[in-house]
Formats: sequence, C-alpha cells, structure tokens
Amino acid sequence: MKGFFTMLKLNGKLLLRSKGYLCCLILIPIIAVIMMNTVGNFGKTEGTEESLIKSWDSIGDTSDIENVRMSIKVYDKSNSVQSNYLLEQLAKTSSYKIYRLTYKEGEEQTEKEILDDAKSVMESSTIRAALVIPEDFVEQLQQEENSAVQIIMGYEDERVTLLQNNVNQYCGVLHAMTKEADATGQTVENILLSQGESLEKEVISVKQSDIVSLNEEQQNSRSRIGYALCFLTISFVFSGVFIVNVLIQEKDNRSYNRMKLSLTTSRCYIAVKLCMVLVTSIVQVAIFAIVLALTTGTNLGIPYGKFLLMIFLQGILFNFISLVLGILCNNLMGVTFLSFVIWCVSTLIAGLYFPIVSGSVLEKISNITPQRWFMKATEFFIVGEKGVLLQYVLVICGFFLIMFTIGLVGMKRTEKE
Amino acid sequence: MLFIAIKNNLKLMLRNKVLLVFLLVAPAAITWILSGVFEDMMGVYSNTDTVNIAYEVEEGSPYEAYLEQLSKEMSSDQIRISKYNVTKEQVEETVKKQELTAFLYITKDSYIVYEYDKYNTQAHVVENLFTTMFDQLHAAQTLTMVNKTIGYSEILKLDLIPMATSVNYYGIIEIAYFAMCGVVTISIVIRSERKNRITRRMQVAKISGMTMYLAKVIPCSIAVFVDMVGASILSHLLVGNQYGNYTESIGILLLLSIAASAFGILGLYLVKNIAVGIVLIFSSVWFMGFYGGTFQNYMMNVVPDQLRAISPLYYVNRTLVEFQTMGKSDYAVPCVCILVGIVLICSLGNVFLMKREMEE
Repeated sequence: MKGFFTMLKLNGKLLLRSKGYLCCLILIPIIAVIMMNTVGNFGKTEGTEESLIKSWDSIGDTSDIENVRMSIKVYDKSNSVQSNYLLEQLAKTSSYKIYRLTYKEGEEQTEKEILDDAKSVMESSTIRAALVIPEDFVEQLQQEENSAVQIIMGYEDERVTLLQNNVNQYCGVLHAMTKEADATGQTVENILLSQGESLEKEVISVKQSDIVSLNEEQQNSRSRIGYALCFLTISFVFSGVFIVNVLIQEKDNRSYNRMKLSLTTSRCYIAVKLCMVLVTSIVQVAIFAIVLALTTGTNLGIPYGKFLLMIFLQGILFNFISLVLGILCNNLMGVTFLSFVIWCVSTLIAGLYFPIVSGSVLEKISNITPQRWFMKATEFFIVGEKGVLLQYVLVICGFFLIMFTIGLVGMKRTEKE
Repeated sequence: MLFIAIKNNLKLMLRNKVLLVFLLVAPAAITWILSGVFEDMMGVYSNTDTVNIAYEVEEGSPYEAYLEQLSKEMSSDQIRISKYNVTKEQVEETVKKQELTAFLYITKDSYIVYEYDKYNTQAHVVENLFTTMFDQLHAAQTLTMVNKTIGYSEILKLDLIPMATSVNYYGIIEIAYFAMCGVVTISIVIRSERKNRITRRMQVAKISGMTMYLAKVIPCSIAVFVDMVGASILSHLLVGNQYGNYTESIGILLLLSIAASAFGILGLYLVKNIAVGIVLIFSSVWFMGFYGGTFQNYMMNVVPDQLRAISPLYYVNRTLVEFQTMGKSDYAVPCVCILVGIVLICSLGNVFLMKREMEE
C-alpha cells in the first residue's frame, strides 16, 4: 500500500478546495433536514386517527392522491346532536372523508361567503362536495317536504348522487326520531341512545399483492422521509461527481501515469477513491443525523440508528455510482449530466414524491431503483415488521455488485485504450 | 459572420445525439409516469364498468330471503349480483379468482364486506350501499315512521375552473419543464469554445459581444423548440395528451424556448465551470417546477402562494393548461410579460458578460 496515505491526503485537500463539494457535503444535507420539516409536514394530525370526522382546522392539505373516499367539507352551522348523528352515519359508510367546519360563538358566514369558500376549496383540492347544515336544522327536521341540507357540488363526481341519497336516508331516520320523540315525550338524544347499532359490520380488504397499508400519520412520516432522501440523493450523487472530477483531472494531467511510475499499484489507487467515497458518505450522513436530531428529534417512527445505516448505504451506493459513471464516461460534463438524469429519474420512479400504486407497471419498474427499496424498508419499519434490514442490506449489496462489475469492465476497456 | 457561427454551433449541437434523444424521450416518459400516478386525484369518479358483487348468507340468518329478493331487484346492466356457496375461509380466494369488486358475507349477527383493492373506489361505493341498506332495515325495525320519500337536501352546482385530465396536464407541463432544461444542448458549444480557445480567435476577428450572444441563443432556441415540438408529438402518440389553442400555445412555447436559452446561457457564463453551471441551472429549474406545478398540480400544491407567484414556470404552466381546458387564460398576458422580461434581462447580462470575456 505504498503512497496510500499521501494520495488520500492529496485527494482530500483537492476536494475540500472545491466549493461545490463542500456544498454537497454540508449544505445539501442541511437543506434535506429543512425540507423534511417543511414540505412533508402536511397534516397537523389532531386527535386520534380513528375519529371519523376530522376538524377542518386540523388539516393543511386536502389533496388526496388516492381519492378512494370522496372528500367532503361540511359547514356545520347547527352543531347539534342531530347534525353530529348525520355526519357520523355518513362517515361510517366509508365512502367519504369528512372535514367539518364548526363555528364559534358569534361567528358567522353568509351564504355567499360559503359559496366562494367552497369554490376555492374545490378548485384547489380533491374535495368534491360540500354540505351546508343550516342553523335551524333541528327545527327543519320536524317538517316534511323540505330541503334542509344543501349539497354543493363542483366537478361532476357520480358519488354526489350517492351522497344525496345517504343524506336523505339519514335525515329521514332523524325525522322519524323527532316524530317519535314528540309522540313519546322523550328527547331525541335518548332515542338515539336506545336505538343501538344496526347489524355489526366488519370490512376486510382483499389485497392483490403483499403491500403495507399505512395510516395517515404513518403516510406523513413516510412522505417526509421520502423528501429528505430525495435531497440527500442529490448530495450523494454530486459529491461523487466531484470525486470523479479529481479522477478525470488526474488522468488529464497524467498524474496517473506518474503515480504508476512510482510503483504504486492501481489497486491502491482504487482503494483511495473508494476510501474517499466512504469518508464522504460518513460525513454527509453524520451532518444530516446531527442536524436532524437537533431540530426534529430522533423520533421518526423507525429506529434512528437503523434509519441512518440505511441512508449511509444509499450514500455509498450513489457516490459509487457517480464514480463508476466517471470511469465509463471519462468527461466531467457527461458525468454531471448523467448523474443528474439518474437523480431525476430514480427519485421520480422510486416514488419519493408520491406513493406508488401497487400492481402497476410503475411499481415493477421502480424496483430497479435503490431508493424504492429504501422506501419499502421504511414502510416495513414503520408498521413494525422484522427482518427488513437484512433484506435491504442484501439488495443494496446486489446493486453494489452490479455497479462494481460495470466499473471493472469500464476500467479494463479504458486501460486497453 | 453571424450566420456562419449559428450554422457551426447548430452543427456542433446536433453532433451530440444522446442529449437530443434524451430531451425528446424524457418529457414523454415522465408524462406517462406522472399522469398515471395522479390519475385518480385529478379525475372524477364515474362508473362505466360492470360491478360484480357476490354474497353468501350463513344458515339461520334472518336476511336470507330478503337478500334473494333484493339481488333480483338490484341487478342491472351496471351491477351483477350473484350468490356463491363458499365458506368464510374461501371468500378471499373467490374474490381474487372471480374478479369480484366486493363480497358480502352475512353471519347470524354481523356482516362482513370483503373489498378487492383492485377496484378500490367502486368497492367503497358498494360498501356504502350495503351499510345504508342494513341501517335502513334497522331503522325500519326500531322506528315507526320512517318516510323515505322526503327530499331533505338540494344540490347546488358551482361553476369551477375546468380541471385538466392528468394526461393533458402532465403532457403540457413536462414539455415546459424540459424546455427550461434544454439549455444543456448549448453547453457543448460553450465547452468546446473554452477548450479550443475560440474566444481568442474571435477577438482577432473583431466580433461584438452581441453577435457572439446571438450566435448561441438562436441555435439553442431552435434546438430546444424543435426538440419540444418533437417531444409533444411523441407524448401525444404515447399517452394521447392534447393542447388547446394551437397557435397561441406554440407561440408561448417558442417564447419559452428563447427565454430558457437566454436564462441558461446566463447561468453558464456566470459560473466559469460548466458542470457547476449546469447543476445550478438544473436545480433552479427544479425549484421553479416544484413551486410551479411540474410535479404536483399547481392548483393543489401546498406551497405558499408567494413562492408560487415568483416561479415563472407557474405562469407558463397555467396559461398552457387553461388554453387547453378553457380556450382562454387570464394568465396569458403576465406569462408573456414575464418571459419577455427574462429574455431582455438575461440577454443584457449575457451581452455584458461576453463583452467582458472578449476584452479579457
């Protein structure tokens, strides 16, 4: 290992001189933490997840990528037992996601204001209908032939008709209860209690393939981790590019030839480069880990140490990929461009920005990206499955093997030239 | 002189076929991915397929006769209800094998709804039908005066800004995004100029900074524009997206190509290292896209309005999309103004920078 440490020192010096490398080393991991805290922090989840009716104020983002249940915003001016019953029954049908807006004392919203608000809400989210429950809802239930509840409809979603049928049905039940209360002298609350539940219901989801289903809070932490990884990948890929930059310059300046003359083996030369990759990833992950621990804390829903280990493996892999690309391309422009493409495409198809639908073609394609495996492992960790880490490490080793082979073939080729 | 330079630069750019092919294929590929992912979110539910439902009633359940009656009533072209004689354990398998949307299994004191996640939305609608059916039966048993005929609600339809389908949306928006990235094509020219000391030689030929700038921005704009038109055609063939107001859309795309070229060249001249310059341009374009709706729909984006307002891509995206959905757009004028502004400012900066480089 002649000259190993000399070369290592020189390489380090050269790298630290470049501002871009420092940026990848320090700045981007910090940006990743910031992105994790801002972008991914969509829902301020309030109360238990099981609560069927969510408070409108508790949510920041109502865009529902799956759109399986129709999202409804409810303007509940009545805020009574009856309106509560109606909304609960609607939520129990599990066709709707209900966001309820209640009014404080003295707070009012005219019809026009409601319509304007509903318009802007429907245009900017997946909310497809709004319900307006009037103040005199309880009184209106006493009468027959009226239209107490107003359903505001935006885009032509067929489920709105279903909603109307449901509203009519449950209002009919409420109406009957009111009548019965009048006849027997009981309050509606008592009748509601004495009514009891109808036949017990159980729902079982039959899955096409083995996928993990996450609840909303878990989805949130998943998407935050996804965004963080997206930024970390940039820093990994481009720090690799800077390491390659040194390699290419050494070739251009014939340092490589001189080094050969000094009886240093090419194995030693490669070891130095790999060492740089290793050190770079360690520093990047360390900075990310420290800043994250200081700002957000270590509670991410998965064990912190394992999380860092997983990121570290990604770090070495992507630094290494850039290095291999450098050996193959042998020009900086090409490597920069290819690395950028790899970053763009892999983060996109790995589903770091959005969850991937299971069973789709995209899911199959996405398995070729390392980040997809990271996200899979994260999901398993979040729901508390065991034996995930081993699988992840093996897969990453597989990726390494492939890249290593490609790198070796590339080196053989350039050496021949 | 100008024409010769333009011709030569164009030739140089065309030599790098990988880059051109990439710019041609990438927008179409990403359109395909994103439009698939966001299809449900940007679509409205309407059921056109036949829904297959099955049920099984355990012996001794009071609902046995009722369900037979009901299934006959409910069956139509849209819904097919059939009875399967299976045990509880076999239900999941049956659902997968028979491609059933949902399976209703009724025991003595409860009912189980099996939902196939392949038909997620439909299955939830079916679950709604089951739930309300049992609720109704329950109400009828416990309450005396359930009146079904009263309409307790009225539907009010609002006029909203039309929503683009995910295919059209991403088809348009990725083109705009990659047009902004298209400047990489000229980086080859700049690289070879710096490598072969062409600037020195141009000094001898007494070429002005303006000519030098035009010799770059014109071929670059042409290349980007042609590439983007090609990419549009390709993605139309692949996913079938469409534009609206073709003349105006093409005009904006052309203007965008010029603006993107001017902006990119400025980026490459500001930083001496081309690789760093490209990273700089790409990341700024990424941020513009992130806040301007390239990845998530600009209407549903959760980013703050102020950040969205400073992203030039937002105006371009919105104009092009609204041309498609409404045939007109209030954002067209600001969009054109911003693009022209970018062209002017970046051009001034470029001419200045190139002049300085020539004088060095």
